[in-house]
Amino acid sequence: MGLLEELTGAVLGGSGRNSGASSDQVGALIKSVLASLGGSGTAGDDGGVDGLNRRFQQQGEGDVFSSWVGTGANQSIGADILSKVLKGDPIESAPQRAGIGGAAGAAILAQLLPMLIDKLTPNGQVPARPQMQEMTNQIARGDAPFARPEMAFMSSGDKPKPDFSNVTGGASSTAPPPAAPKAAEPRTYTVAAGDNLSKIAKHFYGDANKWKKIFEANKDSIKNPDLIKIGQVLRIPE
Amino acid sequence: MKRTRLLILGVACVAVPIALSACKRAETPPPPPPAAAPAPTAAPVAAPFRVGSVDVGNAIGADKRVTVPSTTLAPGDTIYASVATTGAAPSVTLVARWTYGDGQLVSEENKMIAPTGPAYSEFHIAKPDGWPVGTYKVEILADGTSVASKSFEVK
Repeated sequence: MGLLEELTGAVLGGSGRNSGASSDQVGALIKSVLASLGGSGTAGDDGGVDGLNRRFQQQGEGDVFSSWVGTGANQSIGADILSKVLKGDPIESAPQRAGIGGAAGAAILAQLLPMLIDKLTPNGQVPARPQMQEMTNQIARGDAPFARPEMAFMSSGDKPKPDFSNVTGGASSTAPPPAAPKAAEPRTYTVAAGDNLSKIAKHFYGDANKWKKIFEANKDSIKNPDLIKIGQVLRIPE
Repeated sequence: MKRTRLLILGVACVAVPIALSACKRAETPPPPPPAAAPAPTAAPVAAPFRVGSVDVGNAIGADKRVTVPSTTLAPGDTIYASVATTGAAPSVTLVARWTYGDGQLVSEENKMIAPTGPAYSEFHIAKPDGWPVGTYKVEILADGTSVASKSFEVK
C-alpha cells in the first residue's frame, strides 16, 4: 500500500469517518496539500514547508508545528486554530477544492496536515526544496516503494533514526590533567659468582633458553654471552 | 626580764608583717601566663571531589563556562556543556554522554582531570549538516558514575 492510500485510509477511519467524504475526495485533498507543501509557490508566505512553518511561528503555534517536524509525538491541533493559522493560505481552501466543505473539511485537514508534515520531514528536519518536491510528487503519484532509499521509510510509516555518525566533539578543562604515570624502573640483576645467562634467564623467566633476551638487552656491556663478570649489573627486560 | 621578752616579742609581731609586706612589694610581678602555644597547624585537608551544576549553551568563555546558559538551541549551533566541579582528586575521568530523543546515542566525550579546587570542564559537539530538531540530554559521569544531567531542545 502506498502512502497516499495509507493516509486516505487513516483520514477516513478518523476525522473523516462521518464526514461523508469519499476516498477520492480525500485523495484529491491530499494531493492538493502536497502540491502546496512541495513548494509550488502556494503554501505559506513563500511556499513550501518552510513558509508554512513561519506562518505557524507567527501565529504562536510554532511548538505544534515543531512537534510534527520532530521525531517525537505529533501534537494535535484544533480545526478552528488551524483555520486561523492558515487564513488566506491556499491550504485552507484545499478541502473545499476537493469537494469537502465546511467543518468536516477543516477537521480532516487538521488530522491530515500533521501526518503529512511528519512524513515529509525525515530525521526531524525539513528536506531541501528539490528533495521535498520529489517526495511530494511521489506520494501524490502513489508510487511505492519509493525510488530513493532514504524515502523507503515513508511506505512503512516509521521514521528512521537520525544519523549522528558525523558528529564531532571535544573537551577541555580549567583543571590540570593527571600526572603522567612514572615509567617503571628497569629491572636489573647483579651478577654473582656461578651465574651465567641461562641461569639468570631461568631465574627470571623460568626458561633458561631465554638467555638471549637478556643478552640482547645488554649487548652494550656483554661482548661474549659466555663471559659475564661478577658484580656486573644486567638489565632484565620484561 | 620577762617584761623585756614580751616587748621584743611585741616589736617582732609588729615588725614581721611590715617586713613581709615590704618584701611582698619588692617582689617582681608574676610573669604573665605564657601565651598559649600555637596549636600545631594541621595540613589543610582537601575537599572531596564533587560535581556541581551543568549548563548548556552555544558558546563558552576562556573560563570554560557557558556564556549564556540555555535549554533551547538551534540546529546550526555547536553545543557546549560546562560542568562545575569542586574539591580535589588525583585523577577523575569525566564523561559527557549526549543522547537524542528516547536515548539514541549522539556522542560521548571524556576528559581526565586532576582538580586541585573549583574547576570548570567543557564538552562540545557539532554536526556539520545541523542537528535534528527534538529533545536531547547530556549526562555527566565521573569515573563511570552518573552525577548530573541536563536536557535541552533543538528547534
